Amino acid sequence: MDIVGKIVSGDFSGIIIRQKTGIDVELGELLVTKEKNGYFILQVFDISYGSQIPERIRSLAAGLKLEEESNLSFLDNELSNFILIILKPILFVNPNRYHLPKKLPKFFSEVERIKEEDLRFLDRPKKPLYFGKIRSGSRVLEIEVFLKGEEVLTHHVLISASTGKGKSNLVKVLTYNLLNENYAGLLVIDPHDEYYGRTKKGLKDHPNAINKVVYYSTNPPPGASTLVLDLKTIKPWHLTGIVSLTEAQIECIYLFYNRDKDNWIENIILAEKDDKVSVVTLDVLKRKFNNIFGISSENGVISFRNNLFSNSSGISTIKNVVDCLENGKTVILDTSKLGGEVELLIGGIFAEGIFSRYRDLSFKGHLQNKPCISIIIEEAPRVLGKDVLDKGTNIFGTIAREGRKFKVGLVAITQLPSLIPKEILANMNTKIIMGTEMSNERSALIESSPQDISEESRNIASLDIGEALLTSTFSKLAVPLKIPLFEDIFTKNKSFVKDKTTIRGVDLE
Amino acid sequence: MADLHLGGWREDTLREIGIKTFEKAIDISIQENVDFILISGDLFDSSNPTIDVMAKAAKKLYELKVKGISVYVIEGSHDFSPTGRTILKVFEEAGLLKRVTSAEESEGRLLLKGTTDEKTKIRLYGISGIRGSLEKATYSVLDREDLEQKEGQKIFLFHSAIEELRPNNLYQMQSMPISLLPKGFMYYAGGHIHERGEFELGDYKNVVFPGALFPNNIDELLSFKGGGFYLVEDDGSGLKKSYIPIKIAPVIILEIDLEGTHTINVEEKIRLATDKKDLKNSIVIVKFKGNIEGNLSDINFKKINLYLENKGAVLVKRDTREIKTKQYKEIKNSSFTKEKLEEEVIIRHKDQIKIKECQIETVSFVKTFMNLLSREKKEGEKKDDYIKDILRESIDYLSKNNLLEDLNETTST
Repeated sequence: MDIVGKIVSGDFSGIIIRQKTGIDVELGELLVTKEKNGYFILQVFDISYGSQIPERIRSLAAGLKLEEESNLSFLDNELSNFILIILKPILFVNPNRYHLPKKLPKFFSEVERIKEEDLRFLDRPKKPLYFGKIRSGSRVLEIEVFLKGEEVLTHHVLISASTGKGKSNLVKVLTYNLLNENYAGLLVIDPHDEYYGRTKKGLKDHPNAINKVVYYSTNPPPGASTLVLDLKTIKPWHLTGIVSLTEAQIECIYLFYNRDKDNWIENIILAEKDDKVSVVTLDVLKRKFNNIFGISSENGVISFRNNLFSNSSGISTIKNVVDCLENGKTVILDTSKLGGEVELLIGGIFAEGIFSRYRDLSFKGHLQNKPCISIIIEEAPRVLGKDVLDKGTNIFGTIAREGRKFKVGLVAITQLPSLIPKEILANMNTKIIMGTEMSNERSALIESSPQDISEESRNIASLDIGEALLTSTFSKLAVPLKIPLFEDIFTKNKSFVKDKTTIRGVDLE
Repeated sequence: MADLHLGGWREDTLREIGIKTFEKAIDISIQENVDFILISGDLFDSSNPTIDVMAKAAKKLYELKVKGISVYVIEGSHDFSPTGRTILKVFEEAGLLKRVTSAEESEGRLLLKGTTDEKTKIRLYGISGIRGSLEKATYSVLDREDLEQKEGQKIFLFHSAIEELRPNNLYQMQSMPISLLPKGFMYYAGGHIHERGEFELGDYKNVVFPGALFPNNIDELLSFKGGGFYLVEDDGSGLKKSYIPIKIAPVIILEIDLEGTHTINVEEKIRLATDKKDLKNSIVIVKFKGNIEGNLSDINFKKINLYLENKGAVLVKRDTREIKTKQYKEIKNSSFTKEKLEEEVIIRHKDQIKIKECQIETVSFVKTFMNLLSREKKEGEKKDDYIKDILRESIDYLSKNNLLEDLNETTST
């Protein structure tokens, strides 16, 4: 038995054990104390020194050693001086069930390190979502963590971490493993073009990728789809809350839309003047549309600066993407070549398409058998930030508030969760918290966490790369995690062999 | 040009108009003294057309040969045959046309060899279209780089719907992304989509779908009223593309609103609507709509046809899809894709399906099972193997869901 200490005092907010000499215990480590009818799982949230020798004697002894090179030592040093570990009881497990502890473990009980078999009760649910392996301090246990994926995704997920703590790796691991499942469609808005794996390993290398991964880019590699939208598919409400517009400009936009329907953008660009709109408003809108859509006109001829928007291609892009998601596929939008505002506009257009489709399906009673859809958005405060939402709601805000009813959820990634309003943070029912140094960001996370992690602040600050704390409404405890390295998936799994392609439609010699 | 579908219509008159349209297109091409003609698939409606249709096509192609105008083709989803035995091959052997799909395979990559037009020195390459868009797999191993690096002017012929360029009404049609085509060609001659369109997307300039030379079904007649081809000229400053519509017989659409009309008065309505119309040599499509008094079968369509033919119409077609009678209630369906329609019907009738201890949700069960049973026989698959395979998959599925026993109890076989 790997005894680390004995319970010596404390209360429900912190059980104190005296650490056995020669044993090292780390912050965040999981420990176990056995009872007759089950066992407690406890987590280390603080460590301090303890001694039976008065403070002034200890100081004097240290001084003698430092200043006078004395051979002085304490009698029964290991008995007199020791380490105290403060633990929080997080779960009580008995053969039939596990639940939050409602009593304290027996006084003076022995406490030991957790082993894999102590966590076997954590089974794999139906429609699983994989997060990583359980971590006890910095030790990784061979226990994989799954939660009910559909519930987790529709009730929104927040991923929070400082730069370099492994957010991208985590998203790759989550999305890669989801490709084994059919219960969810995933829209990944990818501003760094890092998930598909254009030049290195990525989601394209999953054995199911050919049927499940759809990649859109303004510069697609062979076989991928071009990210191009026909202007006729852009509606005035796509701009709301994302593009900064004055009242007069919004009125002008709706005037043209109500009158010209699908051709409203082109007609604004082509309009020399309009009886109901001032020339200044028209000119400013033309300039804004030129910036956003890359559209301009010369002698009545429309031209486009780039390939993202068109008046002849991409009429069905939105429908295609939503169809793919409705069929449980993962759609990656490479927005790396787009400016910030355009990237958000594109994300918003697709998000609106998804939300509308699923809301309609829900009203018709057809949503039950559909996969849920989750939208992964990086730097989430750009669309969910207080300052952005104060100017007017946008589709991401709507999904954060109402998406759950229609099986649409967000995976919001951010370094700065404190910028997201509290009511939206509270709606993110699963949080994956990675290393976060700034205390105000930690506070925002702790205050909105589904579990009481008020004692975890120091733990969160000290999380290393790839370490995380998972808190969720769908988990009974806040789970310390180690996220595997995405690249390791490929070294462990044998690469799959593609079937030989049957060549047809040419005359082979 | 593309999608001629010679021999495609069931009605003799329309089939004949289709052939005449082709003949006229060839005559115009000769008049315009073109260097060569491209046909991007589906010259014929099948890989083995009737002798009559073949003879007429051969005659016009021979005229081109005499005039020194080359014809470059690929097969389309209709006139392609997996066995390779197609009339196009026969015509090629006879020197009437040239297929541009020659290729070789090297280390898993497909190298297109193409052909050079002797007059213009333009290189021509292509990949045929195959039913079910099976040609997509061929594109996935195509060595695009090899093609892109080839110098000189190049044209690519294809017979596939392109995802980014599909018209809105065909958005569920099987398609492939444009990125599967090689970049940087001077012209992309497209077929398969029967609606005309000219496109530019990134490195793909002059992507042209001429549409069907003549409509292939009543919906196309209603939408396009006719077809045509492109005359493309390279004067050194870029390609000038002119669409040449061909009208052998104008399509006239008569929209007749029968709301509240009794069936005995329908003929009179037609007479009034066409009284002053010149229908000579035209294809007349009568599009009825509205709630009528009486039964649909009481309308004397034969008499109406005769009347319109006497006024000069070469063919009369009718569209009665929007007539409503008291006998028939409209089935309310919000979505009209095949899959959605099926799903709505399944949902409507799901309570009639009772399978004891069924662990799966009924709609999902029916859809999955229907999918299993709807697999078509693969190319080259023996019929016996196909049947065994379907049976095996079905039994597997039922067994996995503990339904096999249940079926055994309720059915004798």
